[in-house]
Amino acid sequence: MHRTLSLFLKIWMTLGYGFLYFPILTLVVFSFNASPQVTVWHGFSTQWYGSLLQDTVLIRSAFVSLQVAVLSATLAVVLGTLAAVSLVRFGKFRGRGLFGILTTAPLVMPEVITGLSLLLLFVGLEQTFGWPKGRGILTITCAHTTLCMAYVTILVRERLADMDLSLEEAALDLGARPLKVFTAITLPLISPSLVSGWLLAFALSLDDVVLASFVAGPGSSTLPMVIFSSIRFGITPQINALATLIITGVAMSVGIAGWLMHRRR
Amino acid sequence: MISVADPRKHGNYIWVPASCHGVAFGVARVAGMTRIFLSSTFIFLFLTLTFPGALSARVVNVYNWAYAIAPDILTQFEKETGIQVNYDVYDSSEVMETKLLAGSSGYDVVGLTVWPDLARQLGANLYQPLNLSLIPQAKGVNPSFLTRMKAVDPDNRFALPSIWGTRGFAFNKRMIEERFPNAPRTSAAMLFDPAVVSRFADCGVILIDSPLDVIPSVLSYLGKDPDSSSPDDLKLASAQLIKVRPFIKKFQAVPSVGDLTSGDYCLVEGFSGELIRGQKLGKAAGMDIEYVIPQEGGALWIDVFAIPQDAPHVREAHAFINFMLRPEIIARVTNATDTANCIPASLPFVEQKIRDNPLVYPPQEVVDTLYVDTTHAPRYERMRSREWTRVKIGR
Repeated sequence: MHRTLSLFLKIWMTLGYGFLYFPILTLVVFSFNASPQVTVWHGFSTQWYGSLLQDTVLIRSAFVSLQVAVLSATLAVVLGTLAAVSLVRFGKFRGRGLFGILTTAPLVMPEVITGLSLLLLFVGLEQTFGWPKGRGILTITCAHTTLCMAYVTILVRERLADMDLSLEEAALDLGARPLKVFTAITLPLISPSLVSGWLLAFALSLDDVVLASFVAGPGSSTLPMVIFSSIRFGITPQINALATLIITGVAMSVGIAGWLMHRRR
Repeated sequence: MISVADPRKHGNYIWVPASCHGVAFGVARVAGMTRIFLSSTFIFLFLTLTFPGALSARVVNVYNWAYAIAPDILTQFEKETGIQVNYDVYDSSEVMETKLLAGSSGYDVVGLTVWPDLARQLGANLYQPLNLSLIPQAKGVNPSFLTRMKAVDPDNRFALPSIWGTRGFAFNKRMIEERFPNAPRTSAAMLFDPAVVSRFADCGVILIDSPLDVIPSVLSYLGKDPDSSSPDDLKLASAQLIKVRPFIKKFQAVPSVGDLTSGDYCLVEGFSGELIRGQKLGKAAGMDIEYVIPQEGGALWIDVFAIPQDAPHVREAHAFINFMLRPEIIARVTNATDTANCIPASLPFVEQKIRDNPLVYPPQEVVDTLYVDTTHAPRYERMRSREWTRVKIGR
């Protein structure tokens, strides 16, 4: 049975969604602008998509960003899950409170401080051990993983705390080893938070500019870094074109995921 | 279907591939997924870590201030020399300085401005002397710039100038005329005389967010020595700024082209490169924007190339600088950015419109009056920052 919304609610809903999506819509529209300005409409043109393909710097940085985002989201999920499991399932071990605070501290730490300290760490490591050799995708990934792991830990921790412990106990009772219980019972049950944690980490990594500008090395500028530095000379609709492509990609994958989910039901 | 535990009951449901199959199927699925996930991560890591170095033996890592160098210049360099270019830009000299100071930045060539960056960083011993025998094009540099730079680099050993410009302000002609038809357009009074700037308060005025840029401008407007390190002059300048503070809409570190062309602001202090480009873009959109070098005296900036102490590819770095200083190449930078360059022989390759634009290439008598923002003793710098904070909070 469908409940009809009152006019008041409908208006608020329209305003709310409008606020969220209207700017994105204008961004898409202006990617087809004929003028080199992002604010004044001059007629329809697809020239910016053409020039986007020519702009190797922008394309390369987009790939660097995607690479870093995928890597650090994956690493953050793995490490964050391990941290959460040990925090929730391993009883009241010594220093648990401190450990909990330390894992989530990057959440509240100003990014400038995290960035600078990681930069100094990487330089120190390189001078002492010769690794990591220079800075690049690897170091940006490490930095992003540090930040994203904190978010994932919190998500998974809540999920684990809510989970019915008797399921794991039943499995143990039936003779499963702890590792088996973890892969057979715990992981499937917490998988929604793993997926949302991964997506959150991916998004965080994709739009970070502060951490990345500190720990990036030669040839590893990420997309946000390139966009920020191009503001000075005026943003061209090329950026809109790139954003439109990314939005289309995201919308399509969400659509496919939704369709798959619907089909399974 | 018998389901032991339906994860959907546990809230926070996004998309669980195994949700409808119960735990038994879930196990195999999750294990499989994990395996695929992990192995793809490892392959990914492996590729990322092995490839960048393996592709090309000779590389040069360039770190330049964020102006739009035409990308085909880099392609041509790669084609001619077989050296691969990693070109990165920065838009905050603080980040650049931090990276270089931390050491082993990996960069071979840094493009930076002389005042204050090079002046300060030479003091920290960040750069190595250039080997001019590897840079024959250095002979083409206009000696007047080298003379200016001697204040910082006495023997011109560490840096070679590439492009230069001025600091001034730009305004939207229509919006200014509507508000003050007889405005003293060519004078710094536009920004620093409260009686003038108050008229533009409603249409948006931006000052550069840096005491290093603004204080000398105010001093020169007040008829003082812009290079003065006297605390009394500093007090005078900040008192003047506090008078105009209520009419300033925004302090911005990097005044950009878009501020004027979007129509959000009508009077913007800034540098020739961006503002002249704004003028050009504005014209395309039917907007009349004018850039002015104040008649009281404008400031000069020079961008240079230098090689960090610990640059890993020193030979390639010299090759890159030599390439960039070639007249027909640096002319292309000028054409792409509307910024003057320091190689007189490049003029025939510069578009006539740019060459004849007195704002890009001011006449020599104007150039001679331009002053530079020298760095001062730390004590004065501290005082200046403090006064600046006072100005910004308005008391």
